[in-house]
Amino acid sequence: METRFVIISYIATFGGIGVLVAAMLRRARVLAQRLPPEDRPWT
Amino acid sequence: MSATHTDTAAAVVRRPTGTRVTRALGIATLIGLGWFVTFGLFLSPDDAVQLAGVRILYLHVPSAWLAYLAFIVTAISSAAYLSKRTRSLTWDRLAGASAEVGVLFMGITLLTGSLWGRMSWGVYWVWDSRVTTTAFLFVTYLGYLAVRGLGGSHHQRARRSAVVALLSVLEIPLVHFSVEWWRPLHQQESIAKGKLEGLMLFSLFIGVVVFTLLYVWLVMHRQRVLAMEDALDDHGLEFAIAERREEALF
Amino acid sequence: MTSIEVTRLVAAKDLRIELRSRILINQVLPFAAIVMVLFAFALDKDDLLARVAPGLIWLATLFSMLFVVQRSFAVEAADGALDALRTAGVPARGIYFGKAIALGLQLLVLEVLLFLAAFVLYNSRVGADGVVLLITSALAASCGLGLVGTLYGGLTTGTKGRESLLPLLLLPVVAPVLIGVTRATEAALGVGGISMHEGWAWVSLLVTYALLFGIGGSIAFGPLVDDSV
Repeated sequence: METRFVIISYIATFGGIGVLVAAMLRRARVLAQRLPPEDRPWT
Repeated sequence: MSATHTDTAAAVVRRPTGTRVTRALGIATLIGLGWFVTFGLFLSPDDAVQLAGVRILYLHVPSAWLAYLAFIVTAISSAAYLSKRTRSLTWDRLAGASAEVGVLFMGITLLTGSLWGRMSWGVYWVWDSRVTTTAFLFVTYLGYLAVRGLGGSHHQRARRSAVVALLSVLEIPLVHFSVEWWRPLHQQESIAKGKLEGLMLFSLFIGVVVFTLLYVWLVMHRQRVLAMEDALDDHGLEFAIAERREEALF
Repeated sequence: MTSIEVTRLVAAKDLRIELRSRILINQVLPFAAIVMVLFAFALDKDDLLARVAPGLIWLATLFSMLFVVQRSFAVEAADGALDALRTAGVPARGIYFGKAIALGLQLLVLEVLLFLAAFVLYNSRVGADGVVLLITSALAASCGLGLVGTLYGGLTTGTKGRESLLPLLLLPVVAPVLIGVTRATEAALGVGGISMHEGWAWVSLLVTYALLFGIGGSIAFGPLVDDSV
């Protein structure tokens, strides 16, 4: 049981984080294409 | 104004929210992640009692720490927004970004905690103060994020959410104490978690460091995305009109 | 016009509106009674019902409170009454406490009915020593619920589907009240093995809760309702 749960935990954790990171970066790219550089003062 | 927009629209933006700092941070996080997985899953030993199950704690404890840190950041940023001297939408967006990342870590905390509990105590849930308060913080976060979506101008959203965040700061201790009086902390839990040492403790430590780096990276990017969303809201009408005008030219 | 006068006037206004429209009496009280009956259907065992009666009473109160809070602010949203009051410079603190008092009193009426329902339907009994605790805890809880309900009701009032946010925001916040008042009621009714002494300790939690949200709410209410668009 332990091994199964450990694997589930690690996959769920990093998988979940990975999915959200991908979604966030994709959204960032879409927005950046529609906005002029002045609206991105960190670049 | 409209001409600049169409020029830049054509260019694909390769690093929309990245800067030198976030790139360095991202690389550090990935390296740390590699270390974490190596030590957490392979190099550190099994626990005498919990066997492999102790490895879940390397995920659970850091995420819990980060969920609470995220909440504190949201609260402080909210206060910073409300204070006249430091009123800036950046604080509001930081509060929102931190809350979103906090929900993520809170979810991980609850999931890993539940699985660990099933292994150690035989049950997926237990009504003690720590677990219940954590679940409450999760629901409170969700409420806060829902309030952020209520609409209105950016400053209206900011003021409203900031007030709700600070009310939550008032609420959480009340919830914690009432639940603690109702169902005091399980004795067995304190014993089980108290005996980490050596490589196990080190894995936990790496976990905390890596997750903290991850938190900062996520919040920086997410905060910038929120800034862009707000900018899009502001300019959206201008751009739409400009686009329609250009269509009319052809 | 001082805050206290405003409080008295707003509380009187809200209660007068309720007396004339009788929403609480015609709609909310029957709802609460139905909920108590449904609990019996769901839980089935008679001795179990007596044991959990305090929890059921206060759960029914919380669910009914959602309607009362929404009603409290629906009268303000209609014709923009609350915005008009604020634009006229009426102090937000006065409005807040006025509405909170009205809400608390309506909740007390509701609770009396629910206690009666529990005595009848669930066979609950209270001894002479428990009555004082019962009344005190209900008063303390109603203060807290009135204050918190008015605060979050003000936040979620208005258009664009905000009302549906009220349960999500309010129910977690009132959890300490539910825990505290249920334990105190259990002590008063002599179920659940909770001593009177412990029951009174829970009352102190309820009072603390009401104080903290009274202070916090009076500060937060103005900014929150002024924002409603």
